[in-house]
Amino acid sequence: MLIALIAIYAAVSVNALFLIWLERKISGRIQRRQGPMLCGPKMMAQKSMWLGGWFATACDATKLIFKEDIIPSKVDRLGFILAPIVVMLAAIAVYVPIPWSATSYHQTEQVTFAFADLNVGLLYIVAVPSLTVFSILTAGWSSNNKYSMLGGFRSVVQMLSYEIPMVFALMGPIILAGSLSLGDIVKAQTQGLFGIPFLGWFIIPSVIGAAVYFICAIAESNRPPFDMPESEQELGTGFNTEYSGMRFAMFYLAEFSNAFVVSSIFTAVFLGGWSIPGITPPPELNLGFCILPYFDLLVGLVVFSIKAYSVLLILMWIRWTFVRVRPDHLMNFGWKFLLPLSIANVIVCTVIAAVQQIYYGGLS
Amino acid sequence: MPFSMDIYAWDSFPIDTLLFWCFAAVMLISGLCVVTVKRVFHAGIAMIVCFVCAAGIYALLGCPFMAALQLLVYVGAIATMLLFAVMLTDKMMEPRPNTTFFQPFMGLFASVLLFGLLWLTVSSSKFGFAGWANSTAASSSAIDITSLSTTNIGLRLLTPYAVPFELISVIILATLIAAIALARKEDRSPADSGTPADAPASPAEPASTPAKE
Amino acid sequence: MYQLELHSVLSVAALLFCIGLYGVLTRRNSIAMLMGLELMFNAVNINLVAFAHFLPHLDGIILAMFGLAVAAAESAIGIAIILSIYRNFRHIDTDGINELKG
Repeated sequence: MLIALIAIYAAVSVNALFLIWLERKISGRIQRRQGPMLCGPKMMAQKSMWLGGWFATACDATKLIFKEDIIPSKVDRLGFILAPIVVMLAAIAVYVPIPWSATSYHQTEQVTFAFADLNVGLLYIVAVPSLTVFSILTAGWSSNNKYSMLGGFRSVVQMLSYEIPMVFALMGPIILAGSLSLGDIVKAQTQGLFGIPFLGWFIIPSVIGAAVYFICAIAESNRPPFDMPESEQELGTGFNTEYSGMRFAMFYLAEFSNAFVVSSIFTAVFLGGWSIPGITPPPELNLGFCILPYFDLLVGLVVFSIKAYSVLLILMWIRWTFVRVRPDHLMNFGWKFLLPLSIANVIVCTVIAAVQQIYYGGLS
Repeated sequence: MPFSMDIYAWDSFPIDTLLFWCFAAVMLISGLCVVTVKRVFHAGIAMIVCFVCAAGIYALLGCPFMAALQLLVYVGAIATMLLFAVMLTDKMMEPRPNTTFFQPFMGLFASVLLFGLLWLTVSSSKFGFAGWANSTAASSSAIDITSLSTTNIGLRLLTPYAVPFELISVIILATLIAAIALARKEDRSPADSGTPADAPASPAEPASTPAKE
Repeated sequence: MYQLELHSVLSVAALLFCIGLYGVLTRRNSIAMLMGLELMFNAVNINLVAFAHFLPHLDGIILAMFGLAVAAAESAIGIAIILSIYRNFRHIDTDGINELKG
C-alpha cells in the first residue's frame, strides 16, 4: 500500500512536470514562437524545435525548491501554511478512481486498472474539489492582502457556480451507464448504442452534457479563459500573490494536475476511456495474452493517454484563443445558461436510456 | 467493511478498528479545537478537519456514498458558507461586553452530564438485531434493505421515501428564497428597486483581515 | 475480538455531540455557535450511519441524508440571519444582541 502511495505521488509529479513543459511549448507555437529552447541538450535543440528545452521544467522546479520560504509577518500562519498542503492533497486524491486501462488476463472477468475503482468513483471526483475550494478561500484570506482576498472570493464563487452544471452534466452518462463507478461507465461505452459499437461513446447521446462538462471543467480548474481569480493584469495572480517558492510551486502543480485530471475524466466518461470502438475485443474472449502478457492493459493505457492528452491539447488551445471572462458574464453564463442546459441534458439522456432499455429488454 | 492488510501473516489484523479510532481521535480533538480556540477562522478550519474525519468514518462504516455526500455538502457548501460569514463579520477590535464568569463551567457541567447519561445508556444497552430487517413494515419492497449500496439507496429514496424526497426539494427552494431575501442589501432608493440582489456573489468589504488583533 | 462494536461508535458520536453542545452553550460569537451546532448534526449523522451499518438497515442512511439536506438549509438561513443582525448591530456577540428595535 505504501508503494502504491509513493507510485501515485511520483506519477502525478512527473506527469505535471511534463505537462508544464508541454504547455509552454504549445503556447509558444500558438503564439508563433518557439517556447523553451535553452535548458536542454543543445545539439537536440538545433535539430528540431520539439527536442529543445526539455530541462526547463526541472530548472524551474529546482529554482522554486531552493527559493527562500518567505512568510510575510502579518499573515494568518495556520491558514497560510495549510492552504497549499490541502490543495496538493486534493489534486493527488482526485487521481484515485480514474480508469487507466482494463485487463482480463489471468482474471475471471475484466478488471479495471485504476488506483482504486471505487463504486462511487464519479461522486468522489465531484466531492474532492470541495477541499480545493476551501483551501483557495483560506489562501486568499490568510494572505492579509486585499487583492488576494478578492482573488480568493472570486475563485470560490466561480467554482461553486460551475460545480452544479458540472454535476448535472455528469449525470447523463451515469444514467446511461447505470453506475457511479468509472470502470463501469467505460465498460458501458464499449457496448455501443442500440448495438452499433461505433456510437457507444457517451459523447454522442449526451453532446450537450459533454460541452457543458468541458466548459465547467475549465472553470473548475481556474484555467483561462476562466482564470479571473489569478488574472495577472488585474489582481497580480490573485490568491497566489503572497506565496513564493515551494508553496507557490504546490499551487502551480495542483493547477496543472487538475487540468490533466479533468481531461482524463472527460475521456473516461465521454470519449470511451481505454477502448477503441470496434477494435477492442469483448472481455469474454480474454485476449490478454497476445504478444506480451497484459497486452490489453498496455494497449488500453496507450489509448487512454492519447485521448487524454488530445483533450488537454484542446484545453491549451482554448487558453490562448478566448478572452478572459468578466465576473458578471461568468455568473450569468453559469446560472442562466449552463444550468438549464445541463438539466435538459439529463432529460435527453434519461429518454435515451429508457428507449435503450425498451429496445433491449422489451417494455418494462 | 473489514479488509485485511497484507503484512506477512497478519490477515486478521483489525485495520478497520484501528482506522476508526484514529479518525475518531482526530475528529474529537479537532472538535475540541472548534469550541475552544479564540480565532473563529481557526475554529472553522478545525471544523473542516472534523468533517473530513467524519467522512472517513462513514466510509469505514460501509457507506462511501454518504462519505462523498458529506464532503460535497458539509465541506464544500456549509463550511465554505460559514467561512464566508466569518470573513464578513469577524471583528476583533470591539471591546467585549462582560459575561458571566461561570459560563464556561456551566457549559462544561451540562456537557459532561449529558455525555455521562448518554454513555451509560449506550454501554449498558444490549442491542439485539435478530429479525430487525424482516420485521419492519416497509420491507415489502423488492430490494434488499440490508445492503447499503448506492443502487439500493436510490431505490429506497424513490419508493417508499418519495414524499420526503420531494419535500426536501421544497425545503431547499424555500431556503434559497429566504436566504436571498434576508441577506440582500436594503436599497431604499426608488431608482434601483428592480435590481436583483447579488449579495452572495459580491460580498461587502470584509470586516476583518488576519492582522487586526 | 477487536471487531468494531456499535457502542464504541455511539459513544464517540455522543462525545462529539456533547462537545458541540459545549460550543453552543459557551461561545459568544454567533458563527462559532453555528459551528457547534454543525458538530451536533454530524454526531447525529454518525449515530444513524452506525445503526445502518450494524443492524443492517438502509433507513439509517436515508434519514442521515435527509438530515444532511435539512442541516445545510438551516445553516444557510442561520448565516443569512446573522448577516442581517450584523448589519443592524454592527457586531455578532450574542451577549450584546438583547434589544428589540423600536
